Amino acid sequence: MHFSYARTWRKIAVAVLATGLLTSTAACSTSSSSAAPGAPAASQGKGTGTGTTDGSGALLKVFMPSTSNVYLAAASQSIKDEAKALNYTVNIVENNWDQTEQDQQVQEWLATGERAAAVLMWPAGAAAATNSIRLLSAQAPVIQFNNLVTPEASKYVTAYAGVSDTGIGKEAGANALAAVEKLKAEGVKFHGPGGKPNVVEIRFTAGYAAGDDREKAFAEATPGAFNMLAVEPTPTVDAQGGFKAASQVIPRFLGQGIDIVYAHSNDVANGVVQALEQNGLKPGKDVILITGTSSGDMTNLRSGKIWSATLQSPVIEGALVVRTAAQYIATGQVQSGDVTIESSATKPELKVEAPHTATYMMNPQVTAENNASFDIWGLSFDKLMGK
Amino acid sequence: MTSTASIAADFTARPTRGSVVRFVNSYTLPLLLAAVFIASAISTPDFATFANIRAILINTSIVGIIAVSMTAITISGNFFSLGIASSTVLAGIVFLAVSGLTGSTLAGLGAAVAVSVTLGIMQGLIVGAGLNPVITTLAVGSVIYGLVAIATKGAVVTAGSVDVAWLATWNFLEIPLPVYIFVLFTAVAWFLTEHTLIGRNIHLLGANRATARNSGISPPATTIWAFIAFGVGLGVAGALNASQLHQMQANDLAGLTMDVIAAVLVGGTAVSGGEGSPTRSALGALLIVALGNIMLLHGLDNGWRVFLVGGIVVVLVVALHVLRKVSTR
Repeated sequence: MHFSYARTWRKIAVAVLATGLLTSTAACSTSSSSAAPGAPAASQGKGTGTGTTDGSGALLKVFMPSTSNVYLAAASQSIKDEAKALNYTVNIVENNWDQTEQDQQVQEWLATGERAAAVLMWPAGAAAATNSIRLLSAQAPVIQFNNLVTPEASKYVTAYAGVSDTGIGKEAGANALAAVEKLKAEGVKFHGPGGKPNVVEIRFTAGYAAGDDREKAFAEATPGAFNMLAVEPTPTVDAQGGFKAASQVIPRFLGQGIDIVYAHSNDVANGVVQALEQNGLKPGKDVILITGTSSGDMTNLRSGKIWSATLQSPVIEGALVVRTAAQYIATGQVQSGDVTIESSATKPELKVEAPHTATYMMNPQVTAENNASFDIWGLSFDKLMGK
Repeated sequence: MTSTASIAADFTARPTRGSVVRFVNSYTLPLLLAAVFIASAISTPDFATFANIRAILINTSIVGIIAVSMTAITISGNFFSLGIASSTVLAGIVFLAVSGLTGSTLAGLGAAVAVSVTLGIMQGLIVGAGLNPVITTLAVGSVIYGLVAIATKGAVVTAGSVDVAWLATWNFLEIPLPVYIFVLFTAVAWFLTEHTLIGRNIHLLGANRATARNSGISPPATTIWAFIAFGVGLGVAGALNASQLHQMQANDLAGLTMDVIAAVLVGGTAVSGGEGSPTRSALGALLIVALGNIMLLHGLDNGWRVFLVGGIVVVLVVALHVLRKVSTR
């Protein structure tokens, strides 16, 4: 009796395990349009472009982390939409935030012999992605996005297009200074030495390059303006991580008085809001909460508990990387230097001109007052965030 | 040839050894925790403040509830669940979705617990049939993660305009509800594990599966009970976590599984089963959070804190294991 019971359940268990493998694979692997036959790779030699931004069905191969994150899902969709508009075929290979997995995917793709007009690369871990980028660059021009190009990989990357963590840190610093000036004008007194505001920074996970850039840029944008009490990294880059970090560090400085909390993203700041409230502080009144990326639930920002965020639109980032690739393929050239695109109400026409070595997204301030009236490239704030 | 005197000496020594084992198992961790708290109150500025102790308790509560509920699985000889993070996220998302649809936080809580218990029963059936619990829970965790990612498309899930925050923010004597739930949960789990037939069966199953079976204990049924307890804990913890932050998404709680396993191990529950206590898992969770807090108050960088807390966990687990071995020889 026991053995037949066990056999039956083992069969069920094997079926469940097999379903598990299939489901997780479906969630974390390729989410792509059907790939057309590969087009010949565009020449990487200077001045030998196709002369048009029309892709004629050529393939853009994309390697990026999993779209189980809303930002990546929106960026992925934007890549597909922009590629379609420019008559490119796009094929996306996702990894589960694992550089080793991405390395394997790169090698497997190279082994197929498929040709692409360009490779769009979001490294799972930029510091460890150099070899994959080097291998890809021998096959097609590599346009990197989201993670800034490391010095080691720079000779293999044709151009960068996407977010600027430095730009976000600078914008957050400027927003913090503006908030302080506004409050000073209203007669608010701050708790730090010499009347400086006391600041706690809840930064991205230790060792995460985006966090390093945002921390450094914020400090450079606010030289000597604040009394920095602590810079506390989150264990994870989400609201839970923000709560964990803030709920430990805030009680430590309650006695000294906290005037400003700078969190590296709105998502992380959602956790900070809860930690502040549990310690009897009113975010938006007792404490000014300045944040980076406008990610996560926006309820706290819309209610004014979060003073400001900084726009980081996955829709624009996705479009930007495809447009940069199209411009390079059209011209076969790259302009040296970097450029930050302007916030315009209409989407700029794509010209046949060489892209810059680095093209950064715009990072305007997002607040409770202005988020409803956002209009960039004809998109509302929610649309810009892929919602 | 063994002398009568030596046999007598050996016989009389057994109760002493037994009492040493009981002492080591029961009091090492509470004494260590008390020593840490007293030493820190004396040596660490701001440690003994109400706000700081409250922060420690709040940070312990969610990990603690899951650690307490998972202890039955470990005691029953089924190691750990490696699908904790995704299961808790699922519970949180169910809580938010049902709360948002019905307008009732309690309905959301009930739905989260019901879903988690159902998943617990399914895993209990599979593990009870003899499949490796580590592989099973890992695979089920992957299934859940995949389904949540597909269903939500990676989006942030909220309860809309329904106020779910009260579940995490309602407080008595300025201590929020999750801390009371943690204490209550620990007390109930302790009672069920130590003072009921099912609890004793779980202990015996982990100590010696063959003997348990020969004694008429059903390994599958007992395993299912352990997973049901785990499901209840996951459901409650997921709902509390979601109410705390008013949101949840598929990739949340990445470090939760390891935090829970560390708490159970520091609590001295034997990985091989048969020995352990939900109360000690709760204290293990509290000790880990307290150590991190003390280092934070001393201004240690995050890297040092992670390194030292990890090191202390390893030393504690090894020390408890050695003490238990020595005292049972």
